[in-house]
Amino acid sequence: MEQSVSGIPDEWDVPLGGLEGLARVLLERTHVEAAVAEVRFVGGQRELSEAAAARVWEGLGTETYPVFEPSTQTIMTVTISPAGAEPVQESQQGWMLANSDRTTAVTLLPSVVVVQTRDYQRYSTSLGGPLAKVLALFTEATGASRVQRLGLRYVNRLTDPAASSPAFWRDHIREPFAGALHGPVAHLVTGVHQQVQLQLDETAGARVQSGAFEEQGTVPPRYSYLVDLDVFREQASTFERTLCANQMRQLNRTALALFAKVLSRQYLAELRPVAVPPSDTPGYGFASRKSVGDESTENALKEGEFRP
Amino acid sequence: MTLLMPEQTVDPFGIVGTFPAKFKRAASSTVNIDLIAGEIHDVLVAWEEMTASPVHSPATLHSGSGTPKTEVRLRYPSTPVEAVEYVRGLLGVSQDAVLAAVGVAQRTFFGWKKTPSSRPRAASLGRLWLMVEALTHLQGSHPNLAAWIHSNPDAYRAFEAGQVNRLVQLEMEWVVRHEPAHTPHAPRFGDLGDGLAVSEDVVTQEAEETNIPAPSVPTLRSTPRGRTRLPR
Repeated sequence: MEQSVSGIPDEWDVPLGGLEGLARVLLERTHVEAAVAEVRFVGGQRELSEAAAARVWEGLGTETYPVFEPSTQTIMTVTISPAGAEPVQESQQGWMLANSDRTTAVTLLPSVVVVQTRDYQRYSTSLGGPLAKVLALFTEATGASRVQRLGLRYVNRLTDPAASSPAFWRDHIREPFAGALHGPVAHLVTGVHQQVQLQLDETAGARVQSGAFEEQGTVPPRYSYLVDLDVFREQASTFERTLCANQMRQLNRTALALFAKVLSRQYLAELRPVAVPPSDTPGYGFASRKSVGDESTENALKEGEFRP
Repeated sequence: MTLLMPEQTVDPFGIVGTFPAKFKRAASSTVNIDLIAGEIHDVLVAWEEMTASPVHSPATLHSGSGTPKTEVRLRYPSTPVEAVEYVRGLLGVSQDAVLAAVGVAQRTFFGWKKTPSSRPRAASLGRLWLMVEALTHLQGSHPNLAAWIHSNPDAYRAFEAGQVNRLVQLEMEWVVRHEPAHTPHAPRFGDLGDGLAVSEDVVTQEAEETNIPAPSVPTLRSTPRGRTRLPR
């Protein structure tokens, strides 16, 4: 699922929005707080039966996900009318499956499937593969057939022992995303948060939230930098497994390309991007360990020169 | 479980922009904030600028004097540090007692606190997550887990010794005595090293005394309200 069936990069490996970036590179030194893959279906049911959820659970493997418990989701919608903005809140009943230490969880709601993990290795094994398996079981169990939204979200946490103030991150985050960290008041900043919404094409978009925050319980104070990338496509369509998988793969490529636009080139290099070998070569699934100084990796980091 | 799932702004009349305080927002992908570190959860909630389901769901209990007391339900932990605090809060014991019971060295624990982003080795976690899982299930069926463990010397000794299955078995016995209408199912935590065979003997003896068939293959299933059900 990491690449096209043939192993040769195809159109779905090209990031959306005309972004150029690291479509075939793993970053070895990032810490992903949460990686989320979500598919929303068009539907009107308010509850997912235990029997249907159990069928999905058994298909995924009860040993893999020994945790099986009910969950409630609260949805808040704001509708704007001439009378004003009215928030509406409704609840949906569903189920959550998780591994024993709850680092990976699958949430099943009447019209939503969510795969979330804190133990992110690479897209195909951590999100893409599990999501495809869940979707096949879910659509069979529930009859869901029309997709409303695809989403991929990465919450990345950047840390450094030397980050004693938010200003530390000034040289690691590109100026358009660093806000007040660049400028005359950078030394006065104790917290910063910026949200950017992007339109990638007619039905795809992205939201980039980024900012520095003080870590809890650190003496002297230390500041982490959070980069929350949410890449999505909102387009009603009939669910088709291969198309859905390809579209999600493209969202993954787009998310990585966006991540590269948030970080400075120097800091990106410090995160040790490693080239991913194609699937038809021995050792697929294990990133080759090349140093940052390796010529091919250096070439991959140059703007506009990396091609999937 | 708490999910953040803000939907996109619905603007059927196309009048977004005429209200200065409002702006059209795209829906964001759902994140289960109960599965991420506490401080990251706090940051995301603040950034989302919306009211998530309360992390602490207070329920009012009455003490012996009739004075209302508030019980705070602890959020399920997502890191080993939170897990230690979770056990400490559920049982009302000291941090040192928790670490000793689950077999985690103090030095190891302080290392986790010092470097929150580190990934602990599985061997250093001891019985921590086993204890968390067991207590979570017990909490769902027991009105006051902390009071029970402090008033039951056998239970407290089982906790101190890290005997998770023994702890669960004692709680089952308590439920059978106090709520005979329920049929008990015992959770399997895969821990065979703390006298499960002894527990089965005790259960058999208890079953003979109370004419309740001894459970053969214990399994746990929670009702939608989170209460454990014990086999008949």
